[in-house]
Amino acid sequence: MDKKQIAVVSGPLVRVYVYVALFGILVPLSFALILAAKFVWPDFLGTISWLQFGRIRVFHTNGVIFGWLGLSFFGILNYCVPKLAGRPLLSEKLAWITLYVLVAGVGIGLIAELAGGMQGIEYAEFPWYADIIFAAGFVMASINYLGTLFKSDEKQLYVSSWYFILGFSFTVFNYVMGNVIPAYFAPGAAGAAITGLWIHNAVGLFVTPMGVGIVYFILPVLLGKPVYSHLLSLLGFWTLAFFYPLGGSHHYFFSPIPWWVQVLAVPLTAVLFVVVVTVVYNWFMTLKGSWGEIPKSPALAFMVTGIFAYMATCTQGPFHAFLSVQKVIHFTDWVVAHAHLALFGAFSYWVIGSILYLWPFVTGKPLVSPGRQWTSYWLLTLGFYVFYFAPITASGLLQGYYWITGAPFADSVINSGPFWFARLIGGVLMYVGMVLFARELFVSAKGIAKKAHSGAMGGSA
Amino acid sequence: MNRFERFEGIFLVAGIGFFLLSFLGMGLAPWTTLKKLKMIPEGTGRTAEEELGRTIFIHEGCWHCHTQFVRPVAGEPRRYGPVSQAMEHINEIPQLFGTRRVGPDLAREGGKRSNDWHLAHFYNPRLTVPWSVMPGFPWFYKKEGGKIIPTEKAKALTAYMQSLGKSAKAQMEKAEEEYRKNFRIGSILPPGDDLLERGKELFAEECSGCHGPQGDGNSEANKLLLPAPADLTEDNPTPEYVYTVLHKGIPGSAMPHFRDCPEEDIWALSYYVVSLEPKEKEPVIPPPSPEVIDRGKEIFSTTCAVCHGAEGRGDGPAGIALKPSPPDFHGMRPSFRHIVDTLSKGIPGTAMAPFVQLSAGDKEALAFYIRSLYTAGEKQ
Ligand code: HEC
Ligand code: HEC
Ligand code: HEC
Ligand code: HEM
Repeated sequence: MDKKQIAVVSGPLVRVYVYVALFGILVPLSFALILAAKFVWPDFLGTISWLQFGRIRVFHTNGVIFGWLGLSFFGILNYCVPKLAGRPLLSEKLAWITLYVLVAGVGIGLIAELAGGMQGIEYAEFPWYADIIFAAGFVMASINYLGTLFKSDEKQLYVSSWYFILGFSFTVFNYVMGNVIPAYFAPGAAGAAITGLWIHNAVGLFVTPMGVGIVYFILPVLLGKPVYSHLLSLLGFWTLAFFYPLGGSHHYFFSPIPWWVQVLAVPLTAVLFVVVVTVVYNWFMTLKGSWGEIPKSPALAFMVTGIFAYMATCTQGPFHAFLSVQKVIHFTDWVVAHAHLALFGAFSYWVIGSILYLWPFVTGKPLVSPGRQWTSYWLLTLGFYVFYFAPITASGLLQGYYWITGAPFADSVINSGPFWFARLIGGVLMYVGMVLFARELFVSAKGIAKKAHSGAMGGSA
Repeated sequence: MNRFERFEGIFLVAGIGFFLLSFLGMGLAPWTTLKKLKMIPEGTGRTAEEELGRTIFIHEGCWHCHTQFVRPVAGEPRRYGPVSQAMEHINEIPQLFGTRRVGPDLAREGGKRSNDWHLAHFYNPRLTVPWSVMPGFPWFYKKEGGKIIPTEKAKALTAYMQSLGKSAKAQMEKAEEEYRKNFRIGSILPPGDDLLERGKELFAEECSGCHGPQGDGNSEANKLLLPAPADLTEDNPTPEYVYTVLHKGIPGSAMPHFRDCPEEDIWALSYYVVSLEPKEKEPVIPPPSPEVIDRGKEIFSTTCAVCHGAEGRGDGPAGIALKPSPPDFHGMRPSFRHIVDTLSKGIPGTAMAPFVQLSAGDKEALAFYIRSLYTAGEKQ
């Protein structure tokens, strides 16, 4: 990794991306609270059409995926990519324009969803006009980041860069496929096969490479030592690239999609276990001898907790693909818990940890309150694992059990009530945790001079 | 480590190449095999109204709570109906298979419920299903002078619901007919306080929306349902009758069946309904005079006995061979209104035809007579 202390990172660029991303988490999270409340009191705000459950559910999912994870990834990349390349971004101006375009795309898309104009494809509910704007922004970001990496004079390409290049070049096509083909061309089961592919590739070949690439970058600099094994990095990368794109139909097991496609997805999903094990083993061996650092650094605590969540998610995944498990847990809350373990427990934690790490470098000021960071950490962790993940996993099993035993449908709804209530409590804790995190960033950055290109100092690798 | 110096091109090619692999192998290949399918004739096409309903279904995000395919596992064919076939969906763009079931699958929804049930349900699902967590859609309704009037959108959504599973509708209807034909009261659970308590609980959970918390038919749903939910306190039917209604539902009305519930719960509900008392202690229907009963008996023996048997045991010469055969009125006392209704409308799909020639007075006399036949406990 580069050890040069040159000012290649634009502080304001990182900061503004992060601020927008904070908006992108706090707003969808408030909608998530309403969602959780509606499960407990279904008539809560029940006469307001734009707060109808279906509409705000997609506002929440699209908001956190595009607004929070998307923009915070880009914010962190605005820091990592120049560092990796040893040069400033290809075009800083383009990065600003990208931000405006992405915000416009996400904003218009989300408002259209509330207004009742969503498109019928999961995780691609933005209507076509918002899709186009978002896609344009995404292409601009890809050009900027890939261009920066390609123009770099650095001798070697670090593992993070592999993931970023793969993620962008794959996702540009995947995004277009997912938003166009099932919406206009592929009917029925064919549409489902492609929708499954889109969902799957979006998490596996966008969210995953961005997140994993970021951990490969941040973890060693936090610990001040290199990654344990280059060979394992290679193995983890290439197995992901090869096997992940082939498992998409596992989102529609037992559906009218041709059976051979579904059967093929079983081993191709199971083999993904190898991917996780290699990657996570690599990180753990890097961590070896440094576990004692965790209590001293909230940033590291977030990163490591995220790694555990990642391991857990991807251990669940291959089991989902066993048909005997699948027939019980599919359609239930279990999958919702799984998705949150990944997107919240792993990726959001990594993003938070990374931002806490890099914030002093992009603001030129230290973080002010470790106490507040720890409070945020514990609220998020307690809220999520105790009040969200555990109850919703349990209610998922319960629902699957009632359905498979032929009990009246009512049983699966009525008996989920207490678990849904627990989730509401969890949501409140998580929300407060996020607010504290945001507050820490704001308070620490307060008073910074407007045009501070110099704020970005090198990370100590 | 140096072997991989600056081969960024590889990763770019990998990204694009693996995307192509993914799309060709797992997207295009199944699509090509599916292109050979032909839609079965009954399943083709949707009317403009149904299409509008489908658009609303997409725009409101209903598909985040409701799937539209029946899997061949987990007892789903029993719960929902025939397993989904690829050819049923070849007109669906975008497809609406869905990935989460907060509510039941809708692939076989067409014909399961009456239109007025859907209209009341969309206004506020708690009206018909008190335990529901489904959102209401009051913005698809207008309010005029205390009346709730469904707009085009509510009607379109209802039409779309009724259009679901067209290609399996005939099969579903046949299965329903078979069920009704072969229905028999199984073993009767003896009454008890526990059962009554359970019945009360279940009534609040399942029935109070339509029949009102008191069971007297006083409810919000009343405004949207036609025929209106019955006043269950009005006259006392027997548990066997309620039990039969709960298993069969009442076709042509919003009254659903509850045959998914455990037997014990159905008996609990039945005893509870029978125990419901009218608010004013005066019975709504005054007790008949002996002459009225005699008149009923007379009409019965001339008009009904061929099928229902001279004593109403369901064993008339023409009745025994029928499927479904006439019920035994000694073992079950229908409600007064149900007998009168049956005589006006008949029971479609059975030998029980409407008797339009009978005057209102005759029908009532027959109802009193039939209800007098019941001999509690004799059968069990
Ligand atoms: C919060 C999730 C949720 C949303 C959103 C939702 N539903 Fe439901 N739906 C349910 C639940 C739970 C039930 C079961 C209880 C009941 O019947 O109300 C149900 C039941 C139904 C039923 C009755 C199925 C049967 O035969 O028992 C229909 C029809 C239905 N919903 C249609 C719709 C339509 C149309 C929409 C969108 C306009 C919609 N639902 C939106 C949760 C939802
Ligand atoms: C969706 C509304 C709805 C629900 C829920 C409902 N009912 Fe009904 N019920 C009706 C309607 C409407 C009628 C009248 C049918 C008719 O007149 O043809 C009816 C009729 C009946 C009758 C026949 C009354 C008679 O005089 O013949 C009985 C008994 C009954 N319901 C019991 C129940 C019980 C017990 C439950 C709960 C398990 C229940 N109903 C739930 C709407 C409902
Ligand atoms: C052609 C034969 C036939 C004749 C004649 C006939 N019934 Fe029926 N009736 C049936 C059959 C069969 C059923 C059972 C239908 C079912 O179970 O769905 C039935 C059902 C009924 C029921 C409803 C019982 C229930 O539980 O829903 C009533 C009430 C009834 N008949 C009254 C009469 C009266 C009163 C007459 C004379 C005016 C009469 N029937 C004449 C065949 C007949
Ligand atoms: C490599 C490890 C993983 C495997 C093998 C895996 C496998 C699966 C499977 C089989 C399902 C379908 C379950 C069902 O619907 O019954 C699923 C659902 C899901 N997964 Fe994963 N998963 C993995 C990691 C991830 C990650 C890292 C994320 C997020 C970034 C993620 C996000 C999701 C989401 C959002 C769903 C729900 C999709 C929906 O309901 O539409 N998964 N996963």
